[in-house]
Amino acid sequence: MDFLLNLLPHLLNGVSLGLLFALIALGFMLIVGVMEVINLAHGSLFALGAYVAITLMGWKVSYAMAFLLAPLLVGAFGMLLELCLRRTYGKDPLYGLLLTFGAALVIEELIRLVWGSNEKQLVVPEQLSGAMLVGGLLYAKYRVFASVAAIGMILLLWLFLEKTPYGAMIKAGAHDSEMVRALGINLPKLRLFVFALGTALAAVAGIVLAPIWGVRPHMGVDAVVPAFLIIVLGGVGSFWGAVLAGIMVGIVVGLTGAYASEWSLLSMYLLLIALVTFRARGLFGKKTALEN
Amino acid sequence: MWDGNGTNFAHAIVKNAMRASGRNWLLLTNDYVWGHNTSKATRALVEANGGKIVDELMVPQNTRDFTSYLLKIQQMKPNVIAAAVGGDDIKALRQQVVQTKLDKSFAWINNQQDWPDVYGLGPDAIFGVFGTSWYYRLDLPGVKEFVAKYQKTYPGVQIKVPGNVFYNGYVATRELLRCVEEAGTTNNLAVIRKLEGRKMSAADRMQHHDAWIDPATHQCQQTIYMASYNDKPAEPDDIFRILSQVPPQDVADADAPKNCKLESYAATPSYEQ
Repeated sequence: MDFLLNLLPHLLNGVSLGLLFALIALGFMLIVGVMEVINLAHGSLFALGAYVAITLMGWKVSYAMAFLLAPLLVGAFGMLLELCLRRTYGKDPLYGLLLTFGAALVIEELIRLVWGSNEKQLVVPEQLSGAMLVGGLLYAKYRVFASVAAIGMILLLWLFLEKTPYGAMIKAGAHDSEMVRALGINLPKLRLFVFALGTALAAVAGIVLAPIWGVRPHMGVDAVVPAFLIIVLGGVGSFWGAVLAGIMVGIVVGLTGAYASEWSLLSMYLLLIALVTFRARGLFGKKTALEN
Repeated sequence: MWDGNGTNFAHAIVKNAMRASGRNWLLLTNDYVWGHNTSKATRALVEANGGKIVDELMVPQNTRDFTSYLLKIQQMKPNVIAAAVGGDDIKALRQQVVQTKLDKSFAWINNQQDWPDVYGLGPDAIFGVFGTSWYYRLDLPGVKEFVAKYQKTYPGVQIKVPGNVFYNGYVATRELLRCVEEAGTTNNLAVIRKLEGRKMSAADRMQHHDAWIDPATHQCQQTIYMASYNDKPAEPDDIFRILSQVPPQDVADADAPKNCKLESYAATPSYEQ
């Protein structure tokens, strides 16, 4: 019984961490799913979101406004990146991979030039800082807020994809882009929008995670690897696959952190290896023609 | 090796912390050689002084989320947490400890705290007791002039006052150049002979005690300062409060000469330039 009582906070913490991982992976999943581009700049855009929010708050913009404005600005920057990517469509996927890798390096250096190399802090409002007592243990209030924000973003994106005509177009584009074009939908415009939405989501994740992980130019590296792992684990292009995989990774990392701490970072990779060994397409990935 | 090592800092800090906070210690260790060495030294000192290590939690490098560690610490309820965590990991750890207010609930010691790792974070993010080999507001001759020269030479840099890392780089390079000058050559063997056992005065190094380079380990033995967050800063950069200074002979790593096997002069390749 004591063991279960001790285990419970770590399980809940794992779910909370998993929601944050899922938030990081959402934008990445959207861009891979619709555009079949592995956006290696996702991590740098994640960092850019945090830096833009810090700058806005430095100009006396409130935290809530910065939370809204920074993703819009990063989304606009993402549109420029998508314009650069256009020449790679229909060619070897390596071109897109190399371009986004180059973009990641450029964005990281740009951050160093504009904001410097030193650690920055994204200060959260007084109401969100401090700790709360849960079951006799202190837990950061901000962590609860971050988990709620992650749930909110997941639900908003799901509603957008499921309940709006634009969401239907995006899903159709992910399924069969040629058919979407044949139906008269402006595919370049759709891709531009999806890329902007994906980068804005990266920025949202950056803002949410900044007060927990800290803000430094290379912080994106800490985001892009789990994001990639989660979409492979969840099944490329699967919305709920990414969410479920994020939560699974969070639970595994949280529990190993508490009971076998030296394995805590390795555990997510072991989980991936174990799952992919038995189910190569991930949790909710579609069957390929070869498997039918 | 110009900086203090994990054992030097552990020696300086363990006895005081045990007396002030208690005998049950938990080690939070970065899972690589520096973390292992520092924790090993801390464990030996704690146990030699009648303390008990209740657990050791390994922290893989690049850990960004410490919540599971912080929950575990609360469940174990140690008196002291000795963190041998460095680089970006300690920045994230510190931020999360402060967020959960656990800096107020437990005694934290962080063996060494590099200045660039805390500069710009704000005084609220500094907690516990930690060691350093130098501070820019030490009340010693030459320190003010050194700080002024740094500011004149590097105007507009983000770190506005020199910290222990800059200081160590400066005094090490200066001593190396002096040895080259004295030897009259850049031949590495001649320079090593000049460095071995070299004595450096406290006044010259702007520290409280004379320093020397141990000929058996080639490590600089120097004053170690214990510090904490400064709740009465004289200026915005004055974020450390120096609690005490410990002479090098009191923090010496006694096992190091036994364990360190230096390459012989005959086996060391040499060159002239």
